[in-house]
Amino acid sequence: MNLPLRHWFLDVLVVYEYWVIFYLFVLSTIYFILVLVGFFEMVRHRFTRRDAEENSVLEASALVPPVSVLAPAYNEEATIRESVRALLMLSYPQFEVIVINDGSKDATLRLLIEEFHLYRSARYYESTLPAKPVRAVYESMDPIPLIVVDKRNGGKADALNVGINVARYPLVCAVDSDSLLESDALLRVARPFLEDPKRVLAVGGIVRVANGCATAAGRVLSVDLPRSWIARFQVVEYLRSFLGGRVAFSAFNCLLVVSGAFGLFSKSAVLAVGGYRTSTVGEDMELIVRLHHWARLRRKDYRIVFQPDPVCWTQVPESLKILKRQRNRWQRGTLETLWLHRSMILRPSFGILGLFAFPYFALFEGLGPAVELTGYLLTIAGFCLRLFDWQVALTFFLATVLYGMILSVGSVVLEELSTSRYPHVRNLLLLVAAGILENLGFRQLLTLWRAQAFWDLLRGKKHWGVMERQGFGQPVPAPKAAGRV
Amino acid sequence: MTGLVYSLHFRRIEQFLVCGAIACYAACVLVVAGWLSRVDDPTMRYAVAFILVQIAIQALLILGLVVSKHLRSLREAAHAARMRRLEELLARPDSAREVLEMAARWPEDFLSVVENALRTLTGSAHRRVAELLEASAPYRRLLLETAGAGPSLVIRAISLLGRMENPEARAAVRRGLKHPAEAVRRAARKAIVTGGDEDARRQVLDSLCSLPFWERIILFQLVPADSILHDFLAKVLASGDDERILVALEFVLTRQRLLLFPVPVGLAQSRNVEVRIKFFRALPFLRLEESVYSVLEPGLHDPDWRVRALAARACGHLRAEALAWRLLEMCASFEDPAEAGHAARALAALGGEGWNRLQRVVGSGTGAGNRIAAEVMERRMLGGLGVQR
Repeated sequence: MNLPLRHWFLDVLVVYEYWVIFYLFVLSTIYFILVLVGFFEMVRHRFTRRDAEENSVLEASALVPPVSVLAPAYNEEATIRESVRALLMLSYPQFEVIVINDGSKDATLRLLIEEFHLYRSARYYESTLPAKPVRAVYESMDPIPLIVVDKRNGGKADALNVGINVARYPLVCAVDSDSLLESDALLRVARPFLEDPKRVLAVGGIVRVANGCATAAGRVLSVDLPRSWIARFQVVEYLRSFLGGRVAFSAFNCLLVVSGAFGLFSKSAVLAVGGYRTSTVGEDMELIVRLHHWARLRRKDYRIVFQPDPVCWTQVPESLKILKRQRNRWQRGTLETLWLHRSMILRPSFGILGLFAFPYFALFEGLGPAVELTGYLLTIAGFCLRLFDWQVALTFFLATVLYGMILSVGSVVLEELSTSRYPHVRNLLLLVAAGILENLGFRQLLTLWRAQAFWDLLRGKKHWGVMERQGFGQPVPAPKAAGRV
Repeated sequence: MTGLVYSLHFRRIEQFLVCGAIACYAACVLVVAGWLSRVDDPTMRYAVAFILVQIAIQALLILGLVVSKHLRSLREAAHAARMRRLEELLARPDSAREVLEMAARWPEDFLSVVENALRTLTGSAHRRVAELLEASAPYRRLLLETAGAGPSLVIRAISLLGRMENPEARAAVRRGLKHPAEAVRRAARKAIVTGGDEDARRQVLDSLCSLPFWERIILFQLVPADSILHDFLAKVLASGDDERILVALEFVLTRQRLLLFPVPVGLAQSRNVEVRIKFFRALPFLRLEESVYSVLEPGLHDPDWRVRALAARACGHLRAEALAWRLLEMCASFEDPAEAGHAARALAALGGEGWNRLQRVVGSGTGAGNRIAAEVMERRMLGGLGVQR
């Protein structure tokens, strides 16, 4: 390489490195603002949340809109009976549980038929949303509101579309069939639909990490932290994402994600936008973005809301291999959605959604990992080429990492403010430790995996990958796809 | 301070608070950078200041978190112990003096226990607890709190005083209706419909129409079925004001109890389709001025399919066998799945001739109406849900 070219290259390197530092600083500042907004929102929520007495009153009312709970299941023989029993025990005036057996290769369907005394039903439904063929619909001979749809395998989105076709109630609740909903979760998540029935299109609840918790008969009996640090890091990550990010985005009506593990939707709105898109691996985010897109184009006065108190407990991966697959899929889903709806970026007609939320997701959630990763690589290259003073590099690295730590600890504060589920000081100390340690390696590892997802997407990778679940209580491997954080 | 939290303008206030917090953060960095004048490179100076501020905030956050959690755990344990002791004392009839002593010493614990007791107890036990509250030191404070500005305390006071029957407490609760915070007014309305004086209850019932749907649902469930309520419903259903009529019908639907007074049949012919829909939905719980057939037959021929569907459902509930022919038409013609479904379920509920006719629909060919009829018969034969709510 000749000398001017080398100088030019080195200059570019230095400028890029400083740009990456600036980028990380801006990203952390946005996170900081989100956590601050989350903090004030949680303070308000703590004061103004309605008491349990009101919930028990609502539970007895025939005017509360009925809900169809959709639970897609694929090879869930290990947990399906317990999960369905838990869903049937939800406290809600009127609901039906629709389990969609998405062509399971194991004994999922047989177990359901035996356990709940199912018979092949003549239930009438219209195939409003296109989906893979339904083989049979089953209902229970017992007086329980359970419907099981057996269909050819088509993926989670396809299964949910079938569930929406079969559903008879005006609200549909998508849940992961291996997650556990708290008994009053449905009533709490439906609250915005009662308070603002004309405007609310979708409501998301909080997803919490069940690893380490004691469960029995589909209920979380006592809350504790997982033993593995990988899962603990995810506890902090979930808290930051839900109590910081989503609360803040929801406050400004620009929430772009309602977790696939637990979300309640207006059925008519979902039908109006054509249901779940089956060609993406991030169907939960894509549906929400499409709802925004649809409503904003029609200048509708609408709301998509996050509620911090309806709780869904889920198992998170404790092995790096499974976690890598999950994050790869989430990142591909995010990128696909951003690409599909790229026309929304910086469009003033989309309001804060087009001018802030979507650019934020594109710039920081979509492209962020690639920028951050190149930043790390260039720092190493800069050291090797003696371009940077190590003290300068270390200072900026520390500044960024400490910023991340404050956000993590801030999310633990939010948890204490909101529901304070972790009972002991020891739990808090472990959470704080996890919040600090996750910035020293774990976060960088996630960045690497998410950057790889970008590459996988360019290569046209479309499949979900196998997700092994431990099950609640006992270690049982089950290929599964979970909702995103 | 809590007034801010309950403010309708909280979103705007929140933006200022966030900006204020960031400004404080930046100011801290600038101040610390000022102390680091020995660092020549300004970029480095600010970066180091930034790090120091972050470390300080981090340390404060962690310390605050752990200390507050620890203190809260201790406080909650002590609080729980005192509450247990108070509950034990309340359960003993001869312990009034000890209870009042504890109330003076631990007013918050006493009020928590009393609130639970007043919510769950009835009759003489309820009266005894109310008398103890009235004789206690925190009672005066509760009365004063209802006139305060902080919504949290006012709400707590109202929810307690709302369970008392003395005029002083009732007047204090009534004051809550004029409080600037909506949350307080809501709490006052709840307290009044549950056990307020007659005038106040009438006032709240009259304001029902202007309240949001979800609050109406809650109030509907709380209001006792007495002459005030019956007067209100009778007046509203005969008023000709669609909005008020809809609210009254919502009430009937929520409570699902038969009304004791006759309802004008003209509601079935209302020009407002929402009134017709709610009327037919509530029909099984309404006592009509005329024969039920005088509204069901026009209902089954209503231009709106939703009205027809609900009229069909009412036919099943009220066993209107004379209209089986029309239900059969609706089931066989199949204009809408819900309409055909309700008609089929009503036929099944009629039994006898209705059931036979339904069998004929199933046996008479193919199509959606046929499938719906088959589903309904299947459920019925298996002892399923039958006519749904």
